[in-house]
Amino acid sequence: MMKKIYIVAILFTVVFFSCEEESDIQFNQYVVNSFFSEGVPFLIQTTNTVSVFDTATYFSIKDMEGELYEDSELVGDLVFQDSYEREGFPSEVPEGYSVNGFTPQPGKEYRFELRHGEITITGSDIIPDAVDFTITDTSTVLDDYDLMTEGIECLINFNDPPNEDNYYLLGYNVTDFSDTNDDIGWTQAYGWMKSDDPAIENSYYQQGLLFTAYRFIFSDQYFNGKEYTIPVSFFVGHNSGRRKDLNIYLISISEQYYKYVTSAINQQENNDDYYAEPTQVYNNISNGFGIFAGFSVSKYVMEFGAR
Amino acid sequence: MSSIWKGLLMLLAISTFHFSLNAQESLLSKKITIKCEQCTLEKLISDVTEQTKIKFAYSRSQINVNQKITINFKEKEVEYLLKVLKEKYQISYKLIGNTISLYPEKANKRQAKIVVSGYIEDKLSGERLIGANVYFPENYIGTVSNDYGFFSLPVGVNATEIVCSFVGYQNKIIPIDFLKDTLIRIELSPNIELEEVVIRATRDEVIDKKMPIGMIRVPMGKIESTPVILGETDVLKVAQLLPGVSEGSEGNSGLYIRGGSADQNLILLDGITVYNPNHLFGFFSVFNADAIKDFKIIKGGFPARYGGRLSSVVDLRMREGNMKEFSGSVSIGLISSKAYLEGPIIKDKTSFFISARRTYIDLIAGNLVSNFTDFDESSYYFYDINAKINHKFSDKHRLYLSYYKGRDNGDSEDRNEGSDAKLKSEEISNLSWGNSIYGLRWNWLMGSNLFLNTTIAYSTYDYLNEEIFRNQYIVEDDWTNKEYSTEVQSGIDIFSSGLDFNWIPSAKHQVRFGVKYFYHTFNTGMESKKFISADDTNEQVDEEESIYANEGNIFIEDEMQLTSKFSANLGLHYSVFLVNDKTYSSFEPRLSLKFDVTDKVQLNAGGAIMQQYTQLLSFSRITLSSDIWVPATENIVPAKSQQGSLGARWSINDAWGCSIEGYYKKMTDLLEYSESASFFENDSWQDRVEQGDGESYGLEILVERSKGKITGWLAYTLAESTRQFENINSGEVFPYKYDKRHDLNIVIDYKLTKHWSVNAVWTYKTGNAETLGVIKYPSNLGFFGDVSTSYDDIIYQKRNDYRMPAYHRLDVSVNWKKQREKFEHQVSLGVYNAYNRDNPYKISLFDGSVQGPDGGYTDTKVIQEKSLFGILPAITYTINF
Repeated sequence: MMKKIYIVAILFTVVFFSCEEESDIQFNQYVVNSFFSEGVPFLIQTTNTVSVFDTATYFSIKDMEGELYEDSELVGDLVFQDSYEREGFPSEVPEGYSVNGFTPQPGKEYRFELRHGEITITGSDIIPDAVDFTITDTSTVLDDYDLMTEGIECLINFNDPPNEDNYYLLGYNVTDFSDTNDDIGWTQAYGWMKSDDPAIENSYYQQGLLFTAYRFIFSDQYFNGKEYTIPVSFFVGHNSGRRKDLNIYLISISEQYYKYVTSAINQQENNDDYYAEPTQVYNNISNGFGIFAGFSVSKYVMEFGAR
Repeated sequence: MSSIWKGLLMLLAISTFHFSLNAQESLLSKKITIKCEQCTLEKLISDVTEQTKIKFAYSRSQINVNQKITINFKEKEVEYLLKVLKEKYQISYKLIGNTISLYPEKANKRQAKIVVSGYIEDKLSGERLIGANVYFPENYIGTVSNDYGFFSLPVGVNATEIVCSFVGYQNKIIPIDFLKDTLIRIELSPNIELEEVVIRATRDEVIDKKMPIGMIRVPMGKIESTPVILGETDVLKVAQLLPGVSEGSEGNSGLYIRGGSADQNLILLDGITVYNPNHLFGFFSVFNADAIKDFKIIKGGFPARYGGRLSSVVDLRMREGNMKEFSGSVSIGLISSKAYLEGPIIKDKTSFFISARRTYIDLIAGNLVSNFTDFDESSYYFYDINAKINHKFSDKHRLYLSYYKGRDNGDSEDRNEGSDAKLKSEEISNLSWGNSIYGLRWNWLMGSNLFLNTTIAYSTYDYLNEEIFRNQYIVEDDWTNKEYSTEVQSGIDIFSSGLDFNWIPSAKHQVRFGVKYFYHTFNTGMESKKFISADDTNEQVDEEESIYANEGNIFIEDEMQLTSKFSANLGLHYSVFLVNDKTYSSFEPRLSLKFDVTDKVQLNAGGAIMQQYTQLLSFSRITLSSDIWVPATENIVPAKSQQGSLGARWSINDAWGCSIEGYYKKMTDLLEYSESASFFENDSWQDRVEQGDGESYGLEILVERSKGKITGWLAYTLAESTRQFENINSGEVFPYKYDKRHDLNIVIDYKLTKHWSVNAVWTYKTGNAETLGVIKYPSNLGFFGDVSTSYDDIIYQKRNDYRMPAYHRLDVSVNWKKQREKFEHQVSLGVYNAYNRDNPYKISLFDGSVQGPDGGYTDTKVIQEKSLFGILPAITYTINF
């Protein structure tokens, strides 16, 4: 009897310890990030994935080789360049891969290819055409005592291009001017905006991040190919008595850009939320992670004058 | 996997070893001395019993126990005495187990088969016993009493006795001296010393050969003695200690059976569906152990009478009420008190049972609820009431009225006042959910071998959450009031009716057939928002239209004894589901086979196709009372499963037994929320779900000891369960959240003395699979293409890619019990999580910092593990009368 119990115990032990699942987590995978547009220096940044517990900053991978293609035509070699200052930009252009002197154009498809050892990393996207818009100032000045800020209600009007799916970011920042010299101003992205428009109500970005949102993200699912007007309230902070300019941007983004941003925001929102499913950030880089996506910007400046 | 099947095959091989103990021969060879001069047969029997402890059974209508006997001998075997009785006095005998049955040599001979049918009852209370065995002792062919205690057994011309046995009761031999079909009532006496309170039921063997594959009947005695959290006995918690049954996460009453989700269990209380079996986020089940008399789980080889769920049937039957005398119990525990009372309204004709339970968890809710809310003040309690009336119109007609109501209520308040006293805010939250069940059942014994149960029932579950936000602030020295309130409701109602026939045409066939109808109303969510300010009131109601559905099914199954060693249950279940303009149907064959290799070893196999028309939509991180039951619709197809299992049972001796069972289950069209779906979205639930497949397989081992001072069992499950959805995890297979490779439970019950006992449960499980991204890369969420350094994108390598640490825990309880006059006093001292293991309940990534060698801090992600229960003592005092 005891012999049989021993046999069963041995079998049990063998089975018990033979099937523990091993972790197959792979660190150090390639990451490629690039948002590109006509008015922005073209730049591809390359790093590695690291453990979330790694406290070190990300380091660029500088020894890659590659090319950039425009509508399948070779544009040139991608060359790593250290960070540098560029006139007209508030901060220095970060380090990364670019093609010397190249400026991408709307309506074109771009594809990169980067090689590191045996690995080839690729990605492609288009730059959508910019969509012009107009602003109607309703002259309604808003005071929000809860947030101790004031703002203005505007109507943003634009024509959505027909026969295609379009995606947008609507954002703004504020330029504060010196109370003695109108030529001196400094721009910052503070304040918040709100809208009851159903297109934005259904956008991902607004949910849960309303009070910290600087942008709305939305698609043309409710107005595809039509003229559309979105009422938006922009808040600009304390009434300082100085001139303030609202710099409003309607950014046409590619579908991949849209998927990336919505998923990335969702991931941050849904982290640790019992009432939501985890979100995997959208990725369009083959043999790696990251995003390679195009956009075009239309800008409108409106003065929110001194009072 | 290969090691799993190697293990299975080897254990199967081992399990076929033949063991035979010839206890009967030793009984007859006991030496006795008889000095009997013209004494009565009754006196002679009494003398033999006194010398040998051998029990005798006989019918006074057949044996004249007053007849005078003369026999004298010294130190001869019992068998010698029996031979003398046969030759000299024409009294023959049969040895049945440890009992010698006496009957006249020339009994009245029946000319044809008759049918003996009737009910099996507890002798003390009149409560009908479910699952009791009635069989012919010579070949063990027989039947099992149904859910209403009814049995029917065709008897041949040569049969002289039948034996009735049930776990926790003394066996009874019933002489068959009837000449025609007879309706009888078999009363079984409970064992005074409940030494054999184990998972078995028949004869003197540890394994129950009549139990279908995949079925386990859990004795209520075991449930009461098993240590549980905060001393609150819980039927589902004990079920979680069985092989193939998992608890999900810490403290959860949900049953995750053979890789299926909690909604894939058909949970029945008196045959009526219970939709949410959980109190307090799943830490307690809604089933008050005082009210339950029978509890069985079917994990595979489903009989055709059950349908509508993919993974299991959890069948609980409420007590009927004592027909003979009043009795009751009052129990005071650490978090709750409960009481029950039962008794005859009209003796032996009408009885009642009522039990109630209420928690005073309010006192400790601050710690517990704070894991889920950020409120300053929280109060929480739950209660449940079980009631039943049963009335016996005649031996052929009986009516049962069952009622259950249970509810959880949680209130929270949070008040804030600005430092400058210019802003006040108040947040009030009321949360409530519960089940209600009403059932009317009518038993009609239509003939000696045809039994009908008719059921009309109503079951409902509802969830309500009300939130009120009040703001007061000063504008130009005036207080301005704003109030914003939301109300979220969901629920399900089901009306059902059915006819269940039980027809026993011969001892070798037990046929069940019937028809059932269900009318479902699904309230999948209504949100009402109200905004009241000084100027106006706005009210907005977002309501998903209720969905109504009709469901019907018919079934037939035959439990067949094909040969003396081979039996089968073959059945067909056909169901139809009509929702809006869409009709779904399902034809489901069921098969269960048993083969007795020897008296001690049985091989069994089973297979079933199941279809589930309603599913519980839960977020993957946690199961909550707000989860909604949703039906198959035009867009959502029903879930389906195919399952097969193969096993062996081995009665090693009269104390030890073991069983081993392997299974494979394939599930299709399971329902999950889409990636990134949120409860607070306005879209219809149908736009936020995905359908996909699941697969699970495993090996279950149960080793149990049922006799002696130390009893208990070891249950081990080796399993794997996966899911695959086209639009989740990039379409790749991922582990099910409650996929547990190893699940081991050891349960020990040590009876120290007549009054004292010690119970211990040790459980070990592989950690749950969680979606926790542990890889990061820089986000590209900067405003105009500049890569942001303030965010990281996290990579979930795949859904449920992270394993929580293994879960293990030891619970111990010491019980004292003493009968004093009419009252039985019982005190139970228990410790949950005796070695204070920090078993993580929830795991998350948080922004934190670590200290470097230079003493400075660097931002990083940190894993935060939250545990719910450390070491928790409990004390319960119970008085039974």
